[in-house]
Amino acid sequence: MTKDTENSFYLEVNRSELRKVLHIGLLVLLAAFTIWLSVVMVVQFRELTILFVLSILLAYLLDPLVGYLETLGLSRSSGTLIIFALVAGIIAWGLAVFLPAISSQASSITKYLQSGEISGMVSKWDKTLQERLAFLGNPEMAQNISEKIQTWIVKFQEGIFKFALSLFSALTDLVIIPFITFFLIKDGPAMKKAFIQAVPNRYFEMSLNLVYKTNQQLGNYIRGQMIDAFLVGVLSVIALFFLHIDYYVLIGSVAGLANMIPYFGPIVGAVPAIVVSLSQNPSLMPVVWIAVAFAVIQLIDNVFISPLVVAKSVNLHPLLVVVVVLIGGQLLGILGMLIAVPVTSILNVIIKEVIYGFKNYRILG
Amino acid sequence: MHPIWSNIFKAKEANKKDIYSLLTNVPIFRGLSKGQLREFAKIAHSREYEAGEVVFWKGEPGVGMYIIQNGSVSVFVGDDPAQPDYVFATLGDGDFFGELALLDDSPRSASVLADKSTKLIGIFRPDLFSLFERRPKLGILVLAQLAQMVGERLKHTNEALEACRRADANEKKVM
Repeated sequence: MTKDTENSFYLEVNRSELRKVLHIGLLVLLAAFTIWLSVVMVVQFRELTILFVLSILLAYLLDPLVGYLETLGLSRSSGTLIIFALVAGIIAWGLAVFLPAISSQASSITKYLQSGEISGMVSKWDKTLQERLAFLGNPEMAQNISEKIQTWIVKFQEGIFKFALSLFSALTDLVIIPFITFFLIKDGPAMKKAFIQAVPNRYFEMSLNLVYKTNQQLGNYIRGQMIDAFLVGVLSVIALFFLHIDYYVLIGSVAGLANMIPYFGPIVGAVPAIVVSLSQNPSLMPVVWIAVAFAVIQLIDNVFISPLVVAKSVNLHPLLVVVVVLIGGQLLGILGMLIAVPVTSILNVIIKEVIYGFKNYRILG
Repeated sequence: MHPIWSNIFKAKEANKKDIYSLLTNVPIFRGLSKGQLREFAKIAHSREYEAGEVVFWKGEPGVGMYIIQNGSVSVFVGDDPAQPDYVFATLGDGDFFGELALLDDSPRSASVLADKSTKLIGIFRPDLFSLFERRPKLGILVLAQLAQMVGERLKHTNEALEACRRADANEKKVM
C-alpha cells in the first residue's frame, strides 16, 4: 500500500468512526430531549395526563375482548361498540348494587371523622402515652408523639375530603375517559401503523419490533395487575366482613386498588382498616387480626394470584421498583406510584431493544 | 364531491386495488377471498426507498416479507452495496422477498438494495401473528401455503444437491 492510499484509507475509517459517534450522540440527545419533554408535559398537564393514562389502562384491559369478538367475524368498530355497551351495563349494575353501600360508608366515615369522637380518642391515647412513657422522664417526647398522631389524623381527614371533592371531577372524567378509550381501542392498530409509518427506513424494522414488544409487555402487565387488584379487593372485603370491620366494602376496594402499587400498596390498604378498627374498639387484638388477614391475603397474592395473572416479563430489580415508585409518587402522587412500574418496564424494553438493535441491525451505516 | 376530495379518495382506492392485486400474485396469499385479502391490506406497511438505499442487510434479524409495488431491488452479499461480492437476483414489480422471516426471526440470508426509487409493501410477523390470533382460519390457510412453498423449495434444493453429487461422482469416475 502506498503512503497516499494508506492515508486515504485511514481518513475514510476515521470519517466513518466520526459519523458513528455523531450518530450515537444525536440519538442520545434525542432520547434525553424526549424524556425531558415527557416529564415536563406530565407535570404541566397533570390532569390531562391522568385522563389519558386511565383511558390507556382501560383500552389495554378491553382490547383482548374486542379481539375475541373479531375472531367471531365482527369488525373492530362493531366489536368495540358491543364491548362498550356490555361494560356500560356491568358498570350500571355495579353502581346500582355497590354504590349505595360505598357512598353510605364513605359519608358515615366522613361524619365520624368530623365528630368529636376521634379527638376524644386521641386525647385518651395522649394520656396513655404520657403515662406509659413517663419512665423515660421526658414528658416532651410523649407530647411530641401525641402531636404527631394529631397531625396524621388531620391529614387523613383532609385526604378524605379531597377524595370526596375529586369524586365530583371524576363524574366529568367519566364522560371523557370512555370517549378517549373508545377511539384508542377502535383506532389503536391504525395509530400504531401511522406511528411506524413515520419512522425512517433505517430504523423501521427495529421500531416495528420495539412497538410490538412494548405493547405486548405493557398489555400483559396492565391486564394482570387489574385482575390481581380485583381478586385482592374481593379477598380483602371478605376478610374485613368476617372481622366485623365497618366500611368493609370501601376499605376492601381501596386495598385492592392500592395493591397495584408495589411494596407500598398492601400497607396503604391495611392502614384505613386499622384506623377504623381502632375507632371501633381501641384494643390491640383486632389490629393483630387485620394484620394477619392482610398478611395471608398478601401470601395468597404472591404465591397463587400474581404468578398466574401478572406477566412474568416485568423483570425489574426490587430496589429499582422502590426507587421508581417513590419518584412516581413525587411527580404525580398516587397515580405516579401506580404507573411507575409499567412506565419503567416500557423504558426497560426500549433500552433492551435499542441495544439489541445497535448490535444486530446496521443502523449506524 | 369537490374534485380535490374525489382525487384523494380515488388515489386511496387505487392504492388499495394495487395492494389487493399485488397480494393475489404472492403464492402464500393465493386463493384468499377479497375480504380475507382486505385483512392483510390492513396490516401491510407501504415504504418508499431511494435508489441505492439498503432495505435490509444480511445477518439482521428477519421481521417480515416485502412485495415490490414498483421499482426494482437486488439481492446481494457483500459489505459494499456499490460493489457487491455476488448478486443473487434482481427483482421487479410484483416480486417478493424475505417471506421466510414470517416464520421466525432468524438472520436474513442476504442483503437487499433498491436499484432505483422503489415502493415496497411490507407484511411483518408481529402483525401477521396478531391477525392469526384474531382470524385463526386465515392463519391456517396462509401457513399451509407457506409450508407448501418451503417444502417445494426444499425439494428443489435436494434435487440440486443430488445433481451436484452425481456430477461430482461422474467427475471422479472419469479421473
